Amino acid sequence: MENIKLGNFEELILLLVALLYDKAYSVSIVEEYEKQTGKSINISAIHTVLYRLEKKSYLESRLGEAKSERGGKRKRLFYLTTQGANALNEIQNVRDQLRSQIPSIAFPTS
Amino acid sequence: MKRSTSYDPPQSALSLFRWYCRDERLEELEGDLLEMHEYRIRKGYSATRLKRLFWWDVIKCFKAYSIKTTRNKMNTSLYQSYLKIGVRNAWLNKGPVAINILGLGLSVGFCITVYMIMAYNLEFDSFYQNTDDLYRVHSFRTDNTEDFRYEYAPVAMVNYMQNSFSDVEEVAHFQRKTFTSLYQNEFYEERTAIVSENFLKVFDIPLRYGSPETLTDPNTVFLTKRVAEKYFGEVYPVGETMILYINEDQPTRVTVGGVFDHIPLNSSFFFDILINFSTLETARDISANDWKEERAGIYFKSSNPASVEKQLKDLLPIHNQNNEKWQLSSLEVIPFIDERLADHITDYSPTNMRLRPQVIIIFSMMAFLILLVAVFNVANTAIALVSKRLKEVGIRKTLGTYNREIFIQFLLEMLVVTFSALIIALLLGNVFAREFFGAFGFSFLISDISIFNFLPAVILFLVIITLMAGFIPAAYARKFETISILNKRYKLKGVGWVNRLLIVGQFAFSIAVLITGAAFASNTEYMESYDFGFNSKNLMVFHFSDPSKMNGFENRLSQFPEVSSIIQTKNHHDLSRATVLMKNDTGNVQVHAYEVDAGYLEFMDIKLYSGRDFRNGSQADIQESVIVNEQFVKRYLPPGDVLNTMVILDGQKKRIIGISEQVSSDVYSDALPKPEVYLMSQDSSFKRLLVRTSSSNEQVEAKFKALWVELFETPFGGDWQHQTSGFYAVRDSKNLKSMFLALAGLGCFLSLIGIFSLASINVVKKTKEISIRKILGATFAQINLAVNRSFTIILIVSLFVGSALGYIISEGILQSIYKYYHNLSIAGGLVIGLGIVVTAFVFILAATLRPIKANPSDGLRSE
Repeated sequence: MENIKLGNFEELILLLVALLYDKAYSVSIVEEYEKQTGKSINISAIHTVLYRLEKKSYLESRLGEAKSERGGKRKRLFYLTTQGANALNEIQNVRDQLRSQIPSIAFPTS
Repeated sequence: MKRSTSYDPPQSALSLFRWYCRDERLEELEGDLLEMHEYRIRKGYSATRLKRLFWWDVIKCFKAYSIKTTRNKMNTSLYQSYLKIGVRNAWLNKGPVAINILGLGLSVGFCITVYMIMAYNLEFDSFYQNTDDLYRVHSFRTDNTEDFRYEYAPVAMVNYMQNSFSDVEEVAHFQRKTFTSLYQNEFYEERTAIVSENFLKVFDIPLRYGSPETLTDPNTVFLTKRVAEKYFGEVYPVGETMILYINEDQPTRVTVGGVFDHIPLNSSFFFDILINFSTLETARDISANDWKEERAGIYFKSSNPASVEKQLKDLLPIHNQNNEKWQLSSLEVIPFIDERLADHITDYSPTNMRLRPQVIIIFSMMAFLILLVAVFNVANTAIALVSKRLKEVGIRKTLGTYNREIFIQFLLEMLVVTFSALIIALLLGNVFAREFFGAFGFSFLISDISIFNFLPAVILFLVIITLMAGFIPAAYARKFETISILNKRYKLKGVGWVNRLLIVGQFAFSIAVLITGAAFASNTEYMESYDFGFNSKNLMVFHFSDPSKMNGFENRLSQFPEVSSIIQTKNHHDLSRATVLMKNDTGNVQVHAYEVDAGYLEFMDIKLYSGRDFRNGSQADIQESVIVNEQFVKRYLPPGDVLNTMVILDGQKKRIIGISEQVSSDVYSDALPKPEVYLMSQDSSFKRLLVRTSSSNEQVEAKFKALWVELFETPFGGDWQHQTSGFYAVRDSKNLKSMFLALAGLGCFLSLIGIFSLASINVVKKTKEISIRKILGATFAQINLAVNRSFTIILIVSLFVGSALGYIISEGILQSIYKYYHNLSIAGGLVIGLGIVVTAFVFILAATLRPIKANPSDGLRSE
């Protein structure tokens, strides 16, 4: 996992993008985030992370269709790249590996 | 779905967003914002909340991913290189730039000190919290037709207010005395606050250690942090004990109950240690219900101060009935924090007070002038340096730089200079403040003022001095004409009239300040030798509360060869006096009285106009004789021979046996000659021992101290009279002298450097003129005169303006402080001014010597 630089929040957004496959854009992510975590978030925080992840090539994007509720403006849809998927897997593997080694006395699972 | 337009996103926010958002992301981001808005509408938010949230989104989206970048990027990199060029150019001209930075730094340092003096007043008492319903009691009294305002009243009044004033929630009192303390065989003098036991409840003074409740314990002392460190160092001080000489003969052992955090100087209550009034009551055997002796500042908490003031008016007759020698004319209630307090300077207050507004005006003016001198210097040097870079500017303009960019570049270069100066100034500000407040025995540092006021002030100041110093050079560089520069046809401007006026101002100011400093120097000398009407030289005064001790000490002391004469007395000039009531046609008047022994007047060299001194041991003189002074005769007695006239003092008939000369060590401007009387007193009531010595040096003092230590365990009780009489007048005069001389030194330094650089520019501009004159056979003197004529006129004008100004300033300040003073003569001022002008000429000659002596062919070939 030497080259994976992914913050906690970034990881969360990556997962949300994957979850919302083909419908992942900033507003839908805000809605999904609020639904899943119960916390509210400002859209500019999502923007920042999305553009940053795109720059890191964990995401790719294209413009989607326009809608009247968006004032006729097109939205930018985000997709997980192979690199992004690999990063998520890698993180998950490391975590699982660590968790499996924890003695049950130190960390009772449920 | 139809809905009202109030649910539409605010257009102004949308416009703002469209303005700052970069084009390639505008569509998607604007769409997101609008959809978020719709999402919130679906959630049923109110119209105002929707609007607010939309605005919030627009503001929050102002981030790196959305804003237009290209132009900004280019500009910042440009400004970065401007700064780099500025630093490099400063490095290239290290000498003049360093002098500029130092000069500006010193001036700005002085300005920061003046800001601190202002902040002292502006932030006065901001240390105390929740002071809205706290009030002070001021009392008024008329004595010998003079009106006095005091921030104190009898302590007995506090009990009365607490018990019978319905609108007073809490009333506290505060007084300040100096006590000697003993800790590990060392004596220390400590400014001691003596307060009511609820004082720390009324005023929230933060404690570092201990708890405020312990103040009610008997013999408890609270220390300030500084004092606690002095005594106990690293040891936890609470619970430690020390000895306090509240009563000079009977030391009191006190226990430390708490240690205060730092208390700034600009707070009403300022002290080294603090004790409960009841400790004083026990040690000195006095009563809190005494209307006569103990007076303190009174502070109360109330939501209805008007009613309290009315009740205080009713209290006035009770006070006056109990206190016939201290009759008050009125009592007033004043908010604890009140701007008016700066004008309501009290004649006595146990608290620290705000500075008089005049002090601040004088200092602000000086700061402004010295800053002007320094800024003008920087501007001048900058013009000279800019002139050397004509070609740089010419080439840059050819390559398409706007005039505006050149202007900004030179302003930024000035920022490098002013910023460095500001850093020096910030370092110096504390040093100056330590010197300034230290000269009066206090400490007030940058850490004592509010950073939230100070920081904006400093930033604003930086901008102002940068603009002041940088505007002219920058505007000058901006106007350079490309073609004429590159054609070598560009002519440097001569010394314009604005410059001339500024040099006159600069030199006049320096001369005026130097003269003021010299005036204070001569005044200090005058004060030191001022004749108070009695002989204060080589006189040590000892205070005793036990007469038998005094006699023993006197016997031993009289064997010292250095002691020329000794006398005992009850009262003594500048240290203690009594008040007697004299009956005249209109009723009783209060008169200052000195109860002395026969021979006191002769001992003190107080001359008698007529009549005789008291006779040694004469019961008749004790019973019925009085010696009155000049002012007493003028004020209360009919013209003609007044010897042997009878007066009634304190109900007793007394015969005037002598008339003495007026005596006063009060040289301040509000001093009035006071009617005074001398009465002969019984031996048993004597408390002071006056010792005239052959000299007042340290050896004599050391001998006295050694004898004192041999005989007594109490702290040394002797003081030189010359450190009592007129001490503050001399000290103030000395301080003002050093302050003005330091300022004059700075002013002269800057002015001379300034004229040196101006003369250098001037001579460079006139290279061709000089060369041609030389070829035509002009002598050195003739060329000099021709080149420097304008400077000669400027300096002569500033000599007269400066001398006159110096005289006016010094006379004005001296007059506002002192009643009796000594100013410099006008001729003396002119001599000082001439000194500066001659020095300036030397500098001008030094600047022009080499160019004039140079080979004329080089001069003509140079351009």
